[in-house]
Amino acid sequence: MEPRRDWLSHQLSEFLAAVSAYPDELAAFEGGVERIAEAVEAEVAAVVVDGWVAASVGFRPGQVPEAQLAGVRMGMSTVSLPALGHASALSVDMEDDERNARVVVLRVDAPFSHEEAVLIRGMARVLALTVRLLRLLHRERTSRSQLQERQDLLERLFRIQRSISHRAPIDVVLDAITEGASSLVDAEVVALRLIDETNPDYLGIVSSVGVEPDVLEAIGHTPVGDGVGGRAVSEAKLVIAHDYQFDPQPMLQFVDRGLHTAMAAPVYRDGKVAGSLLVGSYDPERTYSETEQEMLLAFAEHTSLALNDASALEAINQAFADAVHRANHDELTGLPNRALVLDRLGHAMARVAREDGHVCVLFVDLDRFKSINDSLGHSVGDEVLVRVAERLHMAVRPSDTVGRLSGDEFVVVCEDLAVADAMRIAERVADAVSAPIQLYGRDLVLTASVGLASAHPTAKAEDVLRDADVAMYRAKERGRARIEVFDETIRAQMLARIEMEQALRRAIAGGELRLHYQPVIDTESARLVAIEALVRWEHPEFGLLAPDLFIPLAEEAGLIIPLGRWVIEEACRQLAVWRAECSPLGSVRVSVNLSARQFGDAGLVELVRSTLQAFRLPGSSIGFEVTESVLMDEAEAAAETLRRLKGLGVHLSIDDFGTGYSSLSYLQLFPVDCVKVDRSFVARMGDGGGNDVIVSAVISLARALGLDVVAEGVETEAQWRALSSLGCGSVQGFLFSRPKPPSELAADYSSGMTKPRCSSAMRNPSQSGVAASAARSSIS
Amino acid sequence: MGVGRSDDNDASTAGRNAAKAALAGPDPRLLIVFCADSYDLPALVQAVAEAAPGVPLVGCSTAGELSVSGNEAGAGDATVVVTALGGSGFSVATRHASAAAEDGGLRQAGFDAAGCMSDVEPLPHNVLMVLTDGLAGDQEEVVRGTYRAVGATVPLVGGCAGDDLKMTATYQFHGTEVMRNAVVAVAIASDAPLGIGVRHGWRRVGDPMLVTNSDGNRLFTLDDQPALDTYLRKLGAPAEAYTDPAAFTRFALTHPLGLSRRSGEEVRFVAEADFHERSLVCIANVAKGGLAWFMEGDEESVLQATDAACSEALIALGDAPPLGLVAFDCIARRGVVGDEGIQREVDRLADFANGAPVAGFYTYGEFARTRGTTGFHNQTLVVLAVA
Repeated sequence: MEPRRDWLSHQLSEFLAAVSAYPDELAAFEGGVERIAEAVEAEVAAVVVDGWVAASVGFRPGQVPEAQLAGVRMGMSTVSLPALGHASALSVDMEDDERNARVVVLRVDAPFSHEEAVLIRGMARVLALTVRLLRLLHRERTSRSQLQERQDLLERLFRIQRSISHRAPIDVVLDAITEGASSLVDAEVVALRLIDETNPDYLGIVSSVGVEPDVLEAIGHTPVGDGVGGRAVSEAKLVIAHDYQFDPQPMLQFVDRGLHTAMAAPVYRDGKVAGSLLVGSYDPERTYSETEQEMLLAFAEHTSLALNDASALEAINQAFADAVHRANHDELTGLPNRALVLDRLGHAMARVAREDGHVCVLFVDLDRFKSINDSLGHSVGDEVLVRVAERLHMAVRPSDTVGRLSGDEFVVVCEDLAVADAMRIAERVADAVSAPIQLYGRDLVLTASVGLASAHPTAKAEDVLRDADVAMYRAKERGRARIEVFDETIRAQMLARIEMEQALRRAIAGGELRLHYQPVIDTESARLVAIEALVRWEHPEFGLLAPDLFIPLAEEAGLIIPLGRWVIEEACRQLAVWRAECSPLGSVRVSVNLSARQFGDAGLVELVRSTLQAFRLPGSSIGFEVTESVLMDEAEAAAETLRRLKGLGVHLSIDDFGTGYSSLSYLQLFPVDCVKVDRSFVARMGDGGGNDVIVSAVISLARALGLDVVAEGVETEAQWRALSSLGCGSVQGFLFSRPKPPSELAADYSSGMTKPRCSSAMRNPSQSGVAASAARSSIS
Repeated sequence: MGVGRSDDNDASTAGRNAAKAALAGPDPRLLIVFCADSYDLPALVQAVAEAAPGVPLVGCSTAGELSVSGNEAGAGDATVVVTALGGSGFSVATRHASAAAEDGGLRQAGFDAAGCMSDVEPLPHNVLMVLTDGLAGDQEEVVRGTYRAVGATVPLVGGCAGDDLKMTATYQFHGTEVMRNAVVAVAIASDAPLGIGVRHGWRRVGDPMLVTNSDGNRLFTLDDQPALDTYLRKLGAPAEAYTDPAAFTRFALTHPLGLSRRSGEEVRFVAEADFHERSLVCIANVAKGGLAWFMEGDEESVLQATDAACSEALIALGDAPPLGLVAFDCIARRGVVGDEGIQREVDRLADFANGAPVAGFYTYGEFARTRGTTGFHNQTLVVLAVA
């Protein structure tokens, strides 16, 4: 029977949908050969890469005749295989740039028809494209994660540097170093040894991670030269033991525990080797990459930095002891000031960290103290502060530190106290403050808002103080004269809200939000095909803010719904205006970005429906853009929302495509019309990093799925030409127009024209010597 | 090969009697049991197994059993048919696997069960027989799994277990185990040829159409037109089939869908219509992008298919006379020809067997793969001839 002409394209698009669902290269090959065999009813199909069978179907496991399959010559032929007999063979090139990859298909009896050969070639090409995309995305992700590792290291080192420069106690700094080395070099064991100043032939462990107490006791004081860490000291260089037990001088306790690899770097004080930093692992497969060696050296350098700094500090401390003491007290009340409170808090935290105890901080703020100052004068105010200070002293235990931070802010540091007990002290403090104060013949009644925070084992003193402050703020917010205990929820809610919420709320209600509009143009004709609406915040202080500066905060503060509503309504309103004015801008679709929270809002579809109705706009005049991650989070719910939106006739796009999961297959789950290739890919086109191929693959696959493709962030004519030659349907970017206020955009497009008047860059790319349709043959 | 049948109401008695009759020959290597699901199945299987201790036993519940042994040829319900395969020229190995999702599903079960192929002696002729749960989902996955395990050189036959059209639960047997949602596989190696015949007996109506939209077993559009409307119009369905689900299903029973295959068609039974969605619901997957025909048939075409399947299976034996036939016959074919028709069908099987015994059952789906990689069928007769 003669296959119908449309059979080929349908088979291909089915194949594409199937193979693009596979998560990795091997799965795509395995699934691909199975589908190819089924499509042409062949008994055998295989992918042969550089002479090896990467995947095959038709043979029992372990009985694949690799040499015969690899030896099938290109094109049509016949082969004879044991038990299978004579078979027609077809071998086609997968056109993989990086290696010699072929699809081999064998069928008993019937030779392949011309149509079948065309189909197999097409499938091989689709498989190659899919696999290449998977491979490139894999590399992209790997390099991103390497970048992330680097970032983590820098941040960790930066924190260590900061704690050194903030004069954190030396033991806290050293612990931060061993913990950092443990997590970033991924080591189960970390030990920092320093030369014992009283007995310089020995090393003592000053900080460690993952060393059991009995081992710590046994190897806590060992001769220089013993163990990998000892050798790093005696040899003054990086030492690596890939098989610890066979090292010249291993620590027997570590050998007994099965330590398999270790690496140590020397640390220096005043230019001389002063000890070593060691990392170790029980994993027999563990090796240390060059990056990890560099990481350990970086941590060792920072240890040196901290040691040198600490010795300098000792001298300074000695010389300026009195001045330091003077600087540490509040003149008015005689209480320790912020610096001393922080210092004591830091010491207390370091102490209890060793003894597994608790430190709590009370942040005490007098309610409405300002009105006392304002109505009775500052001298009365000062007197009140002195009385309060005395009462606080009376209310706490002798071992607790009471300090005054500023104005009417007091702080109590309670050592060795669990939160429940600290709560009782907080109550005593609140009671003490609220007893009437007699001053100049009148009773003043005060109250205090108290915030309570307990020190997290890894926190810094400033952090604990800030936490208590935030809890105090919460107590104020909840009506004052209360005690609130800090938790992470408070932090997240407060910080986001305090800083941005009010300003943003005002912005939404008070007309500080603007929509700017950026044209999307047809790649070939440069005609306007759509407009993307982008929100801006015209901040009274900071000027025009881009959405990445306030949308995430709006999401956190729950303001994204009203903000999103404003955007949808404003975009519809503007479009209705353009339509009423018969502007050419009114004849194309305006698209709006939907955030995750907004997308999950139950009222979204009804909002869109009613807004369209209110402005008498057809659904097709509006588009929505959602990012991949929004869809992937809750795919089923997302698909349902999209279906309902689609039911209104609106246009739907996947935004920032390529930055997330990037499997085109899931696009089939969603009724989307268009894919927008992320600007980061466009920006890096032509840099030889494989981005051209990714963009090309995305365009080809999207087109095969019947989706439009828009490339974002087009800034150069070279990018435009490249996208044109890849068959990308539409483009958007600064090359054509930045996002502009509606009036400016309208001025660019005079009536009856759909090309802007004023862009010097606008030339059809195919007039620039590029054969625009040259690369269009791939799939369709 | 020996075949025994019993219609005794007592499971143990029926099993024992049928097994005894089947085991007339020497050196049994395999017992195959087809029986009604209404029996006390563990007791029945136990009785059969005790008749030949140590001999591998496989089987399943059915939607009707058929047998030819000596002068007795018949088909019916509520019986048990036992087949004994024996003699020095055979090597047999059996395995089963659960097709439950947590065990890896149908494909994995097919792959695992088909692993028995590596347990048989290397003899020149092989076949893999599978018995599966006809109510357990996409049986094409079983074919894919077995193909992955045994490859192109081993043909596949078999059938899906039934439950007399109650459509609630079917059972598979291996040893004395009675299971649901299992794949039971038998690897048969023989020094004499094994022949396979496959025919459905339906005629193409009109031109081929492209499956332009489908999802699993739901067929939405053919040539971009709603599948249901095209189906009703092209086949000239009676008026009541346009609105009445029962009338539609009656009509659909004799008007299946044929999917284009190199070896002819793979038939897909149209089970029901979705009048709202204007789609057809088939009993197995209809892949998008393939070519399909509407088909029609009657008693005559069904019986012609019986002849053709038997001939095809026997031709493959060459000059060797058959020792017996095993038939996997679709319950829907039985529906077309009725009870008198199936008697005529069994008579024809007996004629082709020419004195050799025949055993078979009415299935909820048939397996046969000799070429290509696919091999799940509906409304089809699969015959295995053993020489």
